[in-house]
Amino acid sequence: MEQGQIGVITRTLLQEQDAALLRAMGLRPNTKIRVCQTGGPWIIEMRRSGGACSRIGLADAIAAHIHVGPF
Amino acid sequence: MTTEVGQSEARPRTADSARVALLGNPNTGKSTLFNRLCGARQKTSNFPGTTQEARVGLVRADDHGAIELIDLPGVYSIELDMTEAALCRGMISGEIAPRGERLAPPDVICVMIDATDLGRGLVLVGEALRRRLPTVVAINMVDLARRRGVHADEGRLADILGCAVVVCSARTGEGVDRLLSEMARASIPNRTPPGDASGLERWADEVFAEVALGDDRDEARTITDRLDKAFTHPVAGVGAFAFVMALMFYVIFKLATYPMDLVDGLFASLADGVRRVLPEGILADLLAGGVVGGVGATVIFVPQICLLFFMISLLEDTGYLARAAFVMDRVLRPFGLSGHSFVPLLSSHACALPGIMSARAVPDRKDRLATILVAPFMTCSARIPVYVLLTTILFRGRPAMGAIAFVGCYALGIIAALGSAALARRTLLQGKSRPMALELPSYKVPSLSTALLTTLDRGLVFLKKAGSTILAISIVLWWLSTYPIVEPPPVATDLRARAAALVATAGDDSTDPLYESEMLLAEAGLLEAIHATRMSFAGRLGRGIEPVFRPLGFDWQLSVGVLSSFAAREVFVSTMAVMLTGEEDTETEGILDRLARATREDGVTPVFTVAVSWALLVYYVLAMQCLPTLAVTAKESGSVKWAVLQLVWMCTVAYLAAMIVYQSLLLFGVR
Repeated sequence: MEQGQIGVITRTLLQEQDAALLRAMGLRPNTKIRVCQTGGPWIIEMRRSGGACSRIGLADAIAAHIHVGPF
Repeated sequence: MTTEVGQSEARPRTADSARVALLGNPNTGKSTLFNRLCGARQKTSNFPGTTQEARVGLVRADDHGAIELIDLPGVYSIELDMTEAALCRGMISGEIAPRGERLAPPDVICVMIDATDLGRGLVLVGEALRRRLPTVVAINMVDLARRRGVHADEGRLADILGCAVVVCSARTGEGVDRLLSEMARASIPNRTPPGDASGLERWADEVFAEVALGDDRDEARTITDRLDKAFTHPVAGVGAFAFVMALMFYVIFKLATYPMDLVDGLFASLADGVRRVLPEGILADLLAGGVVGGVGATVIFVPQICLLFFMISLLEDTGYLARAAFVMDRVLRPFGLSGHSFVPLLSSHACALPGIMSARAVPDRKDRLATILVAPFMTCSARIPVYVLLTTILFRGRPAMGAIAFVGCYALGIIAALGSAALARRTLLQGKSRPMALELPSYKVPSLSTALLTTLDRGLVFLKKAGSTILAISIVLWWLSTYPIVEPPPVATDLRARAAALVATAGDDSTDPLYESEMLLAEAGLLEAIHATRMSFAGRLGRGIEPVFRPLGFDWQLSVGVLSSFAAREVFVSTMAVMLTGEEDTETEGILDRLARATREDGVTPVFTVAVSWALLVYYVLAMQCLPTLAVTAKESGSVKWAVLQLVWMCTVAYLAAMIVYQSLLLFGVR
């Protein structure tokens, strides 16, 4: 994805512990995201209705295993 | 929406007090609320058998009775396979409790969620509701949410959850009184969300969809984007990090000087007072030299420790540290460490004890162990007096060279730490460091009161944990270097006799014999001090181990210095001052001159030759000479074997490096 693009998480292919942590942090399938920065680290803004959002930083090794589809 | 509905139940609790567990995601302002409510009426307790801490505080409100608040570690879910989550689970079910607290479920759970991202916190709310305990939901940071135009219908949320929902701002105090009232009268919620993870997530999404107000907006937060881009940039991010760290350490070292001088002066006066009040003897020596000296040696570092925690707390509150962790992740990853390790390593530059303690935040066990093992290589403030002494001796009249050598010492410590971490991760702690996934909290103005209370809390923990150990060690060292009491050497007795004779024969108006008498007495005192040190248990040990240090160029006096500073590095300077000059004060130029000119027993060879000084400097950069650090390593790693490994590894590296330096310099004709 390019910087500034908006998409929806479709699936994650991560180790169980990492996947569970990300889900608990709110990064789970059907979550709408905006890519604020690509690589070194990836910065993802998770967006919910009503303007609610939060940001997480992801190492490249984690971001590579997160699949995103068009919004 | 899958929700079981039941009757809301009131739950009996002790007459006028409620025990409330504060649960929440990290960065939701839990600690800010805790500090606002409890102020200084709080203590930090460990959970038995773990290194995790919970803060316990008391709130006395006129119309709410007493509320005991327990600030649990921040978690994203209490069902995760992580230490913090397990502790929250155990605490809520009443299976574990912070040390000194009763083993029972809390009377009330207060779940704190972030008003700027309500949806995420609802999963944790659901997990808490399933515990069937009286529950209150606090939606914090409402001031920030309003500024961003984020709103939620809290009345509708309370209906759906079946428990009280309070909108508040721990920072401004808005809604905090109402939150206290709700805590005091909380009842068991009449709704129970689904138990399975995906069902709970669906439930949270549905609840959020019902309560979220306002329009969806897709505009970018450009200022946050720009700041994030700058602070995590491979070049600009490193530059910003270097600037922030340089500023932080400048402030710490600059400001700490004043309280440190004050503490130093206070303890010196206290020791003088003890000697004036008590008659000369063992008790006066023990109290003035062992107890006051030992406590003073610990307390003198408290200003630096407190300033470090204050600055780190401020930085953390701004939201910058999470970004800096990613910058450092790039630097540390080739050495088998992750960005999580950078705060512990940074803190170790003030003192390894808080540095190692802060390694609890490193989520991966192998990363955490590697961080703990190498943290003491960082130049702590206790090494600085030794660096000052040796660089001054090596570069007298060349301050620029001295400064370069000083920076070199810091660099050598960092290189040794990274090299050791890389080796540990390729041998004992094999495996790749876990890639980082970290929440990036919103940028905000830091809270001064939170930073002050955190500093007070950490300062007291440091004094309690380190002070007791250092005090005990100081007393033992005092005993070893003071006993046995020996007769003065005949030369000194002769000098004293000559001085007495001079005074007896001097006329009323003659000053020369009196001056000469004082000089003789001073020389006698010096000889007695050297003799006493030489014959003390520490002195005998020094002579015993001298052959071990001979390849490094150390004579028996330096061996005593190294041995006496095993418990605390800074002791080396005062030991050498006592042994070589007979005075403990090393601040004056004269004493440094005398140390630089001091000779070995042959009266010709300097104690501090160029080669020996370099070898000593390298030895002190790398050696593990801090017993409290070893004690904390054993505690934090959960095993004495890691502390033993740390001791053996650091001392071996220090010994070999110092020997290579000394022998190489001799080879090149430098003596």
